[in-house]
Amino acid sequence: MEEKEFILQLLDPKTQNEAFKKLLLDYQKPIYYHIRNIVINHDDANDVVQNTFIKVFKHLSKFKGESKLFSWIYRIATNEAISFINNKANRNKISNEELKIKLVDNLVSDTYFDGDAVQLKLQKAILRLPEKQQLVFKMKYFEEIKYEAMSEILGTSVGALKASYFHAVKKIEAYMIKD
Amino acid sequence: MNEFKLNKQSKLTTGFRTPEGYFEAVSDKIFEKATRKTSLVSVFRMPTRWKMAAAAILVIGFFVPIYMTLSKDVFEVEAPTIENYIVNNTNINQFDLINELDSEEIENINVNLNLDGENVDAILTSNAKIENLITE
Repeated sequence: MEEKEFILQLLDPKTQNEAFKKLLLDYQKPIYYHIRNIVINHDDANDVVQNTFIKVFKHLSKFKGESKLFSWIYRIATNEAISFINNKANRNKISNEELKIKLVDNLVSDTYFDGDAVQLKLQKAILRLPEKQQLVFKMKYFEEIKYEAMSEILGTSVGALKASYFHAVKKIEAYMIKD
Repeated sequence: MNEFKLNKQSKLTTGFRTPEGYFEAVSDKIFEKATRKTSLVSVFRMPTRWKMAAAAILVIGFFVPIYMTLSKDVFEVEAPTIENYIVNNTNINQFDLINELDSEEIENINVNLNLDGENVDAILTSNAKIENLITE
């Protein structure tokens, strides 16, 4: 089914519910992992995923089809996840960086993290990057999102994204060989 | 570790996992939350007792604010209270007040006191405060 046709189904009250079920089926896993990569903790990711899709459903009528549905949903998810982290840091009266360090430290005892020492070190290496580079690295390396799609989601040029990823990889590789 | 190249070694995953059956459960939950609408029941399909209850709520809701407004105690502020308030709580002085009044209003304020000796005596003897002020 073409995207235009699918969007029409999402906008038509008669077919909206069925189309939304399909949208959930297609997007819930990638969106969950996209959000989880930002908020780290499963319970937080669960809350943000729900808010994201509820927002998507409520704002369907405002989706003008200027960007792809994929980019639009990812943009909402990214904003929701970043706002969540900001609010959580504010509530705890700590900076975003401090909060993320705490969240990654907690992964050791997290039931829903089964990574080994190298994976944990990779998470710690990512934390040392500037926020934008963190996001670009996670979207490229873990989620394998193409630069063109990432550019539409983040509103950054492909060239700038490539440069961000290049710098991120260099810094991570340097960190990974440290004891 | 001497060398670490992300593109040369086997791909690392995040290590994040979810509870079993999570996606099936969350999908239903999101769908239910997103599509939940406030159910509107037509008045004509309501059972009679509900119609009566709804009517009672409307009547109470309509008349209570009116009753509350009408039954409010209307209190008048006495002139000395206003005067004291103006003196103690505002920057308005007598010249400001005079500027706000026209000549007719100033004329009306005039009190014609018959100040012969007998009247002055009467005022002083009947008003202890004035006597105190004089002795002070």
